Amino acid sequence: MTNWYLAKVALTVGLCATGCSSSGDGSGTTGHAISLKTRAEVKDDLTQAKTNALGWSVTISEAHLSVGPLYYYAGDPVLSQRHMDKRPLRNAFAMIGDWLVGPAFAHPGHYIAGAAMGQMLTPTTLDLLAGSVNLADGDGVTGSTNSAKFTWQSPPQGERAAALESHVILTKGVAIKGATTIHFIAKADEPEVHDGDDKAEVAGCAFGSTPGESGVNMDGNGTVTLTLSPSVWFDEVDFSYVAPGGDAGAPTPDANGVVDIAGTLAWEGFIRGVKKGTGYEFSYAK
Amino acid sequence: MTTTKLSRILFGALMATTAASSTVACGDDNGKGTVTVTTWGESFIEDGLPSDVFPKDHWSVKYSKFLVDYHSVAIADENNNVAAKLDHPLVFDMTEKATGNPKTLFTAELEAKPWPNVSYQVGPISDDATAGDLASDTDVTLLRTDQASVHVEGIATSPDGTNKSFNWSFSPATLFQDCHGEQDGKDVQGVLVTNGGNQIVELTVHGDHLFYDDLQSEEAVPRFQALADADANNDGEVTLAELDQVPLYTIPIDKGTYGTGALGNVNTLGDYERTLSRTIGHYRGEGSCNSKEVNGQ
Repeated sequence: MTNWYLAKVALTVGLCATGCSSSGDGSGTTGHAISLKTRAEVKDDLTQAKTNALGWSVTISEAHLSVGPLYYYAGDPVLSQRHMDKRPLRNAFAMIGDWLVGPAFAHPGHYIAGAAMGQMLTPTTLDLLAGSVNLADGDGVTGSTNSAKFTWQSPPQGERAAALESHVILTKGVAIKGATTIHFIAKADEPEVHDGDDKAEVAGCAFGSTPGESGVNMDGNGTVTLTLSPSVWFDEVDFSYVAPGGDAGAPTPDANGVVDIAGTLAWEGFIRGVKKGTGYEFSYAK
Repeated sequence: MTTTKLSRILFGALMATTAASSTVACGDDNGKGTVTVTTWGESFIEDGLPSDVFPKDHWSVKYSKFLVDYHSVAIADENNNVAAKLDHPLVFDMTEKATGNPKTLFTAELEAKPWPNVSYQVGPISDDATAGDLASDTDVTLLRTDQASVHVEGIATSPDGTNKSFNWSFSPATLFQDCHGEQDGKDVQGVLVTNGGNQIVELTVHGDHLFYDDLQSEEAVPRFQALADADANNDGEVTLAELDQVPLYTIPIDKGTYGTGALGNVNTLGDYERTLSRTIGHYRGEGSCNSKEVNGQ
């Protein structure tokens, strides 16, 4: 039996026991099954160069991303700013749901996912330069939803999986700072994107009514949009570590003058960037 | 489905029924009880963090000052109607051991019933803040001068006896809400006031949090080596300015993941420590609250 099934049972049993399903403020009900279409969008204009925090102007010419199942939760992101008032009965039901599904333990004060509110389970591979795309449909239950989990699928699946060459992220582009121009490849394999719990996922991403906000009442069938920001991946990449004459261990460009930044401090910055939740924002709309 | 799972589901249904019944009974006269809001920094802040708290690098830490500005505290009903609150901000030095009564913020007499919404805010320091039990006006002035919500001073000691001091003021203000914790052996949302009873609601400060090596992982452990390495001028004091110069991606993995979870604005060890300073607030020991950034902080 999956946690997801138990979450549905918990909500259903709780509602039946009280004999009412009103959320208490007249705004809707909690715990009804809903269908959720899924869509992926790219926040950045990838036709334009973007200057990162370290002054490198980065233009991405290729970006493929392996996407695994997506999960939506009642728990708040760490240190979130919620943009929705709590509903009086939400806490009681969420607590019951948490208790029944056995929410992930987190050190007190840190992220606690809480009750499962929805999911999209079909892995795929995205070409981020191809624009917005519909993903497989998912499902969920009505109620207050505040955070989400992005996962990487390994090995990649979907029509475009071959483009990833078994990596979970593969990007190419050019970085310019002053007189220095670096054509680069930046990629990541599944173990390299593991979080502190050794899982290939970004847990505790914001889930709200607009990208970056946290807190929305899913009150019917709707669409969940995953908004991706590749610029976040590159924000801390210091390409000086792979520049000619830079670090003693700087990699040698290939015959086409392209540098694979793997294993360098530039790459460490890239890996930290791809793990940031601000690169994966979720929103719901009816 | 196992018997255990079934019983948990049935108990969940019972809980839901009970919750609904409590709501209906809100208007009844249930008598009154007392709530005393206190604060404690546990042994970790009062006595120190021994080396076994740092299982990977075996440093130890002794705080000499740990100031917290309780900007607000509120106890409210299920509709967020506040029934009791802190009159004005109070500053406490959590290293000071209370003898006899615990360090107390306020006492209130409330209707005997569940009060599910307990919240408190740490910082920002304001003009009306005063010294709480065992704190001094000097402590308040220190926070005010540094515009700090939390201030810590102490010494960390490595296994080979190397000492590194720290003196850090953290300005971000944090709201801790939806607090829940253990009461009479059960996890209670807020506080359950009983007729004629006196409930101690302890705002617990966790001093080990400032050294955790991941903001979100279940596997996070306290470490100090990466912080010690940030002492760029090697003068024996690790400053926040020095921590600000250390990008997290430069920290070798054997000195900690320093994972930031879903947070997107934590790039240096300085950012990291400031973020950890917002996780120190707990509730009735190991109970917890949802921590929120305060707008503009």
